[in-house]
Amino acid sequence: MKNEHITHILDEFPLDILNESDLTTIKTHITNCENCRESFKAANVSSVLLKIRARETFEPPPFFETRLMAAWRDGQVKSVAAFWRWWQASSAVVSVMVITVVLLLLATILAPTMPNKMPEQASVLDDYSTDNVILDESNLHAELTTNQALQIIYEQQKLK
Amino acid sequence: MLDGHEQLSEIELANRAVKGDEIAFAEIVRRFSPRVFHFASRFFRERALVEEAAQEVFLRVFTQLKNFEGRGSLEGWLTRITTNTCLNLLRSARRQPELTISNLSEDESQWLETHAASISIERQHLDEEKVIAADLVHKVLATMSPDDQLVLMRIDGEGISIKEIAEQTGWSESKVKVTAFRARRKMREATEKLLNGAAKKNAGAAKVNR
Repeated sequence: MKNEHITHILDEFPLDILNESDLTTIKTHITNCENCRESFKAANVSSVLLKIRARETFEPPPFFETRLMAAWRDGQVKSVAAFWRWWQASSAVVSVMVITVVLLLLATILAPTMPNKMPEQASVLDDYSTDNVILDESNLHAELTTNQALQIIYEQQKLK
Repeated sequence: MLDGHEQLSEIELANRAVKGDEIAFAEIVRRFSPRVFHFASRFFRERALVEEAAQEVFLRVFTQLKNFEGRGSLEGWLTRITTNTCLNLLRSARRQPELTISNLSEDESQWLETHAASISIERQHLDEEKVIAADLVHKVLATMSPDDQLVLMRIDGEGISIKEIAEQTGWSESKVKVTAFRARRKMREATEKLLNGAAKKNAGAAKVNR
């Protein structure tokens, strides 16, 4: 355990919350391990740097709240104005599209229902239906007995 | 001026703001803006960016306030929105490539060389030194992902617990732990490289002077 490198301890918790046992392990190990000594030094510098950075903070500027409320109102006005401008520019096109959709819906609902296919067409199509084709093929293979199939293979080999 | 709104509880303020009471919303901004600024300062170093983030947070709060159910505190809810807004803003910014000693100023590499041997937070007395150190860590953090920056600043910098970070981000505690472990390793390796670079640079400079 004493010979194990200590970088995993350095990465597991912030340095300032390491317990005595971990610190002793680190200190014992780095006396003999150059790489881990460098890693410990770097971890220490990182930790201090982060603490220094965390102390930097900004306060809200004066009138932030007033400016924010103005920005919000401005945003509201802009969005209403933008909608109005869009409506003025495209109201004609939108109206035509809505009327077309309504007319198409009405036509779909009110038009008499059409049969799906003509009777004579149906009989021709039925002859070539997927089911029939598959059944025909299976019948074709079913006609061959095992002996006949072996015979065909034998003859084919002989021809080669 | 605020017409007694400063006496209202968080939930009352939220209810009034949802109903369009602008003064209630202004009171929310007044009450919580220091916290939002403090939090956004962890992510951004320029005042303009911090202000932009805070403004974005409150405008988002304005539109999402109707979703606040009052189960937790308004402060906690606001912190979650601030976290997500800041993370999104950071994600949209370009990440800096790997940092080498040549990217550091003379002051920064000098600082590293001087403080590498024995460093402690108590020894950073001079404001000027603190600014150099903060510039330096800002450069290192800019090479890392927004998630890494968040956990490093909040856990290692401020001492916030893993549980709190999980609540603020909506991540699981194990995700926070793993992210922190990896981020710490990246930060340590980056610092180690810079320390070696600074040592070599200064050794080279000393040779030239001789």
